[in-house]
Amino acid sequence: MDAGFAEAMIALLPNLRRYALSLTRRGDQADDLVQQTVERAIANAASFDRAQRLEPWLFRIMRNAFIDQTRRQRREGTKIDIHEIPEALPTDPGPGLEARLMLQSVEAAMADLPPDQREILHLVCVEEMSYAETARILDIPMGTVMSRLSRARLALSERLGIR
Amino acid sequence: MTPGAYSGQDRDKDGAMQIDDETLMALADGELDPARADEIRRAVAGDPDLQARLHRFEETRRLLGGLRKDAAGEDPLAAMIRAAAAPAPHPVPEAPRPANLNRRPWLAAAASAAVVALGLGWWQWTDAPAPGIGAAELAALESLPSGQVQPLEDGGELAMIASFRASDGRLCREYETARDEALRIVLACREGDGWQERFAATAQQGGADYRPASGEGSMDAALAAIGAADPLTPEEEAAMLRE
Repeated sequence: MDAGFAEAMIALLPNLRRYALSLTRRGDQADDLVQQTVERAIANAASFDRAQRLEPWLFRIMRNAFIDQTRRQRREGTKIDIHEIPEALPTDPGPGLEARLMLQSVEAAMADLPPDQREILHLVCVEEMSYAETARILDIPMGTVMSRLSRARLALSERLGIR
Repeated sequence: MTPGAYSGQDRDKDGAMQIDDETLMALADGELDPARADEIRRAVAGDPDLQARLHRFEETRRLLGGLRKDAAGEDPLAAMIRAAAAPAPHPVPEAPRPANLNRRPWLAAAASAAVVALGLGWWQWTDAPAPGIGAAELAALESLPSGQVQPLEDGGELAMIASFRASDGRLCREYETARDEALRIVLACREGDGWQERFAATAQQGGADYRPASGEGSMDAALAAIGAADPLTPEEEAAMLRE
């Protein structure tokens, strides 16, 4: 792994943290997932195709790591309630009150959606992945990306009262 | 998307353009090629119904974009990544460990997911002390509930992962021991008055001894071999431990 690759990965750490929170809904688990993703990425840096964008590659590693953990948790017999911690994203006092309230209602509406819809909304609308990149990260056909994403968008707009 | 790969439109018998939700969404997301986007925009411009439908996709995109916050300051993992890029033999650098000595069980799970299963017997040709089942491990097997961690006599610690009932009715337990940087994952089954290892794999966590997967076996295969079903519930486990 060279220094350029390292800096590119460092620049994407905030994105990895957001995606980890979106997957796990828990701060401590998200931190562990990011660390594990970074370790796997470093170990596999040589297999990264430099012609591709780094971000989807990292997201895919993270998602696979998350799936491994979920499988293992099931075997350990522990259960995680994704609604246990409603406020998964850290609040910062940046935007004004109205914008903060809107952000909170968007977060609440997201938490209310089924996990597959929440995940695809996050990848496309928050992380700005293209449809093709999203299809590769999730290992699903492009047509499924579009149908799932459009259902998720309409469900979200219903919950937020957008007509 | 591939330009032209997705059409999503028809004309009804009056010649009006029928545009589906996915096409409107692709327009809002900038996924249409320019010619196609122009065509849809022209159709939307003259149709209040299409405008309202497009608005839902544009608004959800805009609002979700607000969740794209950037944390202040440099990420704590940045230094570790830079260190890994520095010219060095190959080792993956040590990641920062939680100050809390009790490893969170989830972290243990994360660590062992990365553990390379080398199969029983690998330790015999390493310098590691032959592990066997020590007294503290035996005590844990007899009494420690799954999900709990206890210290070992030599400074390591043991995390009990889960208990299973083998197809012959015996109690089997999966646990991990961490000593220095060596993580060992074990499946042991009750045999008469004692315990017998049925599977063990060892890995150096992030050290220079990192070994690629050899395919010599896995915990999942070992669990399948003893005919284990789902992990026992805490109540079932407690009952079997009393037997």
